[in-house]
Amino acid sequence: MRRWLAILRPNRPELRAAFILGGVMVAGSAVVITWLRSFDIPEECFRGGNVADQCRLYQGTMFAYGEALNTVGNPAAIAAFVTPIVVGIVLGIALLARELEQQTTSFAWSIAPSRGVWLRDRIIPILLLLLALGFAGGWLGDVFQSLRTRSVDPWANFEGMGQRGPVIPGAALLVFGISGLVGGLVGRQLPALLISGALIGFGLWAAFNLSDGWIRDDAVFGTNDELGLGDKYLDSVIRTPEGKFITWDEAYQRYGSEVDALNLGETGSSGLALAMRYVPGERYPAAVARLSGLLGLGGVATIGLTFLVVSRRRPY
Amino acid sequence: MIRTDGLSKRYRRRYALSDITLEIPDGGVTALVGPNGAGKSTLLKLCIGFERPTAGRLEVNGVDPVRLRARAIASIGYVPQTASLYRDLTVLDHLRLAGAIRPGFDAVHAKERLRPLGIPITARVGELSGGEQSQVCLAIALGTRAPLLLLDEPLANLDPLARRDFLRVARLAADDGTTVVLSSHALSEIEETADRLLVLGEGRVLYDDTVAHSIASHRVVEPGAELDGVEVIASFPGRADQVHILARASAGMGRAPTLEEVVLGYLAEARDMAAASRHEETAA
Repeated sequence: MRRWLAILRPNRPELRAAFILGGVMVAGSAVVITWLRSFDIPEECFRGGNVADQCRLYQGTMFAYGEALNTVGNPAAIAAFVTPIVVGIVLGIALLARELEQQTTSFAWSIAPSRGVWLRDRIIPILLLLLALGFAGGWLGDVFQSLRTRSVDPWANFEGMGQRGPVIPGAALLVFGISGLVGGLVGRQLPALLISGALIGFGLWAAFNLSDGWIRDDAVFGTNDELGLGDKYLDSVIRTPEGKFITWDEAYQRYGSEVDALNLGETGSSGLALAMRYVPGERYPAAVARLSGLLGLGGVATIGLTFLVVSRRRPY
Repeated sequence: MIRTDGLSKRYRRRYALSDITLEIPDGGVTALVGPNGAGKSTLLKLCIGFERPTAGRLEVNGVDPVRLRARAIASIGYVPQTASLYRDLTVLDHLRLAGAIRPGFDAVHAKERLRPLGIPITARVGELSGGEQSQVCLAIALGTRAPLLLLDEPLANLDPLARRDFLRVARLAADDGTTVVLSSHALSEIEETADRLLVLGEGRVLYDDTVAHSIASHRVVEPGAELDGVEVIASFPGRADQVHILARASAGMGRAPTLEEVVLGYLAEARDMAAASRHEETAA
């Protein structure tokens, strides 16, 4: 333990800030969650559709709950999502960019026989902290999601995907990996921060786009009645009298202006009906596992490249 | 032992070291001297694996620091040109950090080196003077118990008293059996400390001998003196507009040189040869 403390001593300010931020995130979220759960509303009143008569008595409380969710719950959920990402950038930049800028690597790398061991010994505890913070943030995000749509299991609900659950530790890992790698290449804090910011933005955009493409492969067709609260709606299509699902363009070509007369939930006189292309909520665990894995893999790859950079570059 | 064979290091178009073959034997203090840009720091950085050679071979205690950097570093204690310590950490933090990342680091030995100098180990490095920071670097390098100590111009930012302290500690280390390689401009001060002199200039070795033999085998003569049968190295500027001539001779003429005068003579010779070479190129 004393050895780890000595190794991490140069990063004490950032680690202390990470602990404080993490503590505030968890404690603040716990207070908000407890408060939101204290609203005395029967669960069936959240299910939508024809609510029971007794729910009408809770309309005022439900309005207050919605207000509380918007004003406090959502910001707390955003904080749970953002905190691990911010901590990841700060720790990533401090890992190498600051050391190289202040040339303390000349000291450390002349003492440590293996730069790889030096980096490994610093990265492991930082990663453990970051992953703990990421999983905590992700779990809190799931809890906030369950408070937002109380009738749906957050693990069968595509709403808020990417801002909660194991995606958060995956994103934190990627952010840390990119900022550490860029810091190792650039060796200056401010340029590393700016370049990392741009690359992180691009990396997250690319990962989410790739994930969206995979999600589309899981899509099914169904009518409006079949679309559940946790399902991911993709687009509307037309169901032909033969039970086939075609795009609007195809439907116009085949059936002309008849298509314009279609109403949601009804079957037209010609047998045409509006339908949906969507991903069922039960596909959420697989989708989120793929996205988290992709982000985590990106993080591991960039951390691996950081080891390569450290082994080859000058310490100044 | 440091051994190089045809070692070259090029930064973009400029060669910092060009085809250098040398051998620094085990034991004692070797002074590595030369003008700015002579390649002194580059040679030490190559030894510790901070730089990679452009060409040639380099061995540090029998190990190639490029291929087996970990093994090479394990046998080296290094003090960089500018103290590269963590300004917000205390001296004790540094000793603990060194102990955590360097197997076999002897913190007690390092503390013993610092105690007589009155450097408080609980002080933050940022609060210490430049001389004290250099002493901390040296103490940590000594704490590695490495058989080879590379000191890269550690005297540059030190006041005269701090230089004396620093050199005394380096000398003690050499007396204990550590091989010390010290690059420096402070020629008058290292004369008392160094056992061996290695002059680098124009990216090559200009002179390599023991300090004692360097002084014994040269004489300083004044212009106009009889120099028949004497190997003249070069004339070099002395103090107060005087010009002296360094000659290779054992005794009987002129006076014995200081170490600084030997170095100046060989640097002047290199400068004259470079000027002549440029003149020939221009004429051609």
